[in-house]
Amino acid sequence: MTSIWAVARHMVSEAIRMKIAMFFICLLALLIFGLPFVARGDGTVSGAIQAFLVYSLSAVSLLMALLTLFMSRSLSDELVQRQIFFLMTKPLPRWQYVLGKWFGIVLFDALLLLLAGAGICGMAHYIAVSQPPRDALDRQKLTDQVFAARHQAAVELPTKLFERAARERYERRKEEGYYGSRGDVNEKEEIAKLRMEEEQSWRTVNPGGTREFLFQNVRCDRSADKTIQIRYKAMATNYPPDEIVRSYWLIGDPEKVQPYQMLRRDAHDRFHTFSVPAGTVAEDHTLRIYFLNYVLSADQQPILVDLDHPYEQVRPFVIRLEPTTPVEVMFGVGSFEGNLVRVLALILFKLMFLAALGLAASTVFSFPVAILVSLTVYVLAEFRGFIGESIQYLGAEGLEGMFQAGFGLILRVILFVIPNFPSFDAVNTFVDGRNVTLMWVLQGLGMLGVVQTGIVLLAACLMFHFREVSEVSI
Amino acid sequence: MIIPVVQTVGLTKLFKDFWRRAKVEAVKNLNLEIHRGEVFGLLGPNGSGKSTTIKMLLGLLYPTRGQIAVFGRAPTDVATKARIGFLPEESYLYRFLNARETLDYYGRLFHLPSHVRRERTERLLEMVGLKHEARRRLGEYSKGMARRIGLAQALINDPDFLILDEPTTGLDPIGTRQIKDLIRELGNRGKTILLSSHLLADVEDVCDRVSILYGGQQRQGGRVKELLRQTERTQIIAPRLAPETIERIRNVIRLEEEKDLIEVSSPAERLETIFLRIVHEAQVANVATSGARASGAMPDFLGPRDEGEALVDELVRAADRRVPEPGPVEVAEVPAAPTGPADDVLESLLAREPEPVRDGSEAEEEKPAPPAGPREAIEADRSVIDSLLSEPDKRSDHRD
Ligand SMILES: Nc1ncnc2c1ncn2[C@@H]1O[C@H](COP(=O)(O)OP(=O)(O)OP(=O)(O)O)[C@@H](O)[C@H]1O
Ligand SMILES: [Mg+2]
Repeated sequence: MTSIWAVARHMVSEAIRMKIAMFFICLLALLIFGLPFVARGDGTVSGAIQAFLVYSLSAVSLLMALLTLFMSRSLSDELVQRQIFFLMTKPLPRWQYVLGKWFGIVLFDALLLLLAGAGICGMAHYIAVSQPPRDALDRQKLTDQVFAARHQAAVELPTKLFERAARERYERRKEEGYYGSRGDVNEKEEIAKLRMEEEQSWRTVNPGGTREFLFQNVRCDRSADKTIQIRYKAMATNYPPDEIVRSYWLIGDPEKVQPYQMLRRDAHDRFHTFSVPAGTVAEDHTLRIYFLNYVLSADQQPILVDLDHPYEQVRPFVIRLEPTTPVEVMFGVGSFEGNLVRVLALILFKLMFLAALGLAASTVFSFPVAILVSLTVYVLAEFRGFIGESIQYLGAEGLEGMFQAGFGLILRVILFVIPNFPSFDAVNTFVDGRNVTLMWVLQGLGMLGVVQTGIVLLAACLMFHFREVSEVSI
Repeated sequence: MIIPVVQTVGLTKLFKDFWRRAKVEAVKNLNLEIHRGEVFGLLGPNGSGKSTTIKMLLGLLYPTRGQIAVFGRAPTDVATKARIGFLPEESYLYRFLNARETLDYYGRLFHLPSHVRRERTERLLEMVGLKHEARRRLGEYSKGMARRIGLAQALINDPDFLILDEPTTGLDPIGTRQIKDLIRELGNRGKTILLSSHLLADVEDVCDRVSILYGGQQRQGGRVKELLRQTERTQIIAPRLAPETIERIRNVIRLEEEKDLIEVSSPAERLETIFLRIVHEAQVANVATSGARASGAMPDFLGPRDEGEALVDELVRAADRRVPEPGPVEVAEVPAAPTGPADDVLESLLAREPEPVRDGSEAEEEKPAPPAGPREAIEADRSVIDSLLSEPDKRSDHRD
């Protein structure tokens, strides 16, 4: 352990004295402290801060990834410049040397991330105080959505209902002779199609119609001064001339709480978030929301829940609630700073993997080859999702098929080691003011930081163990 | 049974290329045994496999065939490393650390507690004479200074077994002398030392046993004293004598034994004799080597003969004379210096005293005295060093 620590310490002091690290640090500082004065966003303070957070965190993530890969140069340098002769003739097991290097790089990364995080946090608050909010909305967005870590509760789709309805319709159609004598009807496919239709029609709210959403487990602070946010996106089939979707919301179960109502006029096909009092959530942590596609009476008053009304004459727009989770409820669960720490932790896990990767490559290759190899893997990891999808479709008949199957198997094994970086990228979640869950961080730690990093580190130690350190690698 | 510090049996190292084809056989079937408390010398021309052998003993290279035991264990065993100090043939130091940090780092790797590290660092820096330069980055150090740090790091763990690969390269005469004294002193304290060197005089001075390698094979090995006893000569060692005394001794020998004194000098050159003979024999026998062979004739393109070359000639001849039994001397064909009016014109233009035109044979006879005869210069140097070190000469009275 003392040896690992000695090597790690040495690695950190090397990194600090290395010009390349200095270069990266200066670049980071320039980005963090210079960016806010260049990028002003959409004119609102909240927009400016969000833009700053996206750019600075993405830049930190990318620059640190490159820096980490470059720092593994230390190992190949020590091989080429033969300092390894001194090290390997000390009572220093080779695996401890590799581990020490890795630990040193990760330690340095952690230090830099801490600095960058402090800088970003300070700068975000600086923008908030130096620039007055444009309006009340901006001010509210700042506290509710920017300097916030909100938990997101998605509405559960009544999938069972869809399934049952689809079956019923299928049976009815069969009885009615809808399919005729066609023997080629695939029951499964047909039901799946009908289920989709059911879901679509559920998402669709006809003029004057109502949709009710029930959220369970909304464990927010229900104090009077607290708010929760509702996020939704609506499309109006038949394009509305002013591109505005009008809706009426009744929030809170009238049997349990004092409901809150509001009329919304929101741009078509965009996400919208609005705040309502947290008191609308019932004591049993349920929240009922009614969404109404209201129609206007002749005197421009909304007419509610009147299905018998001849709505066609009034306003013939059908509203469809679009994304997979049509309505989301968000409420604050943590602080901005805590959320930032979790984002940085996820970045650090990524760097842990990259440090192991760079070292593993450096144990076998000279620096230029090693950096090329690790950069390739890094890029693959960033596009891991697409690659994973594409190999699903491998598979053909005969010899070619066998070849493909073998190839696919190898690919799958490799892909298991190559992490899926985007799935652990929490920057956008953070910038949206949504909570980066501890679960997510733990998953990142487990998968990226322990399993995949562990495999690569093990490979690095093994390769280095069997390597003759006096061998010339060109 | 006492376990030898180092034992190799049939040690062989083949360097292979990328396609695993054998390329170089650097060490062939080497059997070494180094015992506790011994100072063992590994000799051989460039590329004869000395460093390769040492690297295998340290686990930096893996043998192709054969066995190695260091303190009775495999060379890759890290436990034995705590008892070993190693100075590689070049000092590969961290340019960004200073001397103190470097020694501290290596001390940490030996798990030395911090007060021990601090104390030993200071003592070693003092020993190698770099205490006042200890705050500078090693990247700024000269070759010899770096070498001294290399030596200091080899001693930080107070090793039982010290491996020195050409310890004196790059060192000034005082440093060389200090290393020799250090080796002798450590030997006296019961440490085992393996050193490789080209400086045969040094090896002869400090080593108990030597092994002479050529082409990766041992050509000759054994106790230095026994190797040297083959010569039919008697050597008288005395404190510095006045020239008149030497003349009188010479006369005594002439009278009593009807022989002449062969030479009056330090006994340093005699291992050299053996070494040269062994290497020469190996070359005549066409022993395969992947290292350096005898150097050939001077290439013709190297400019015309001039005063400078005459001086070099003189120096070479002086050095040759110090070898009593040289191998067959390869005579380099040197083109005669171009002579003619052109030269004269040049010389008169440069307004110098025109030199008499000489041909090659004349030049060999003549001795245009250089500032000081090279021989005298060397002798003078030695006395300077001796007086600088001002220590009683204890060259021969060590381990008997
Ligand atoms: N890593 C290597 N790869 C290939 N060949 C090597 C390697 N190291 C040494 N050799 C070869 O092995 C032979 C012996 O080299 P070695 O360094 O042991 O010689 P040496 O006796 O130490 O010479 P010197 O006196 O010049 O230091 C040489 O021919 C050398 O080219
Ligand atoms: Mg060597």
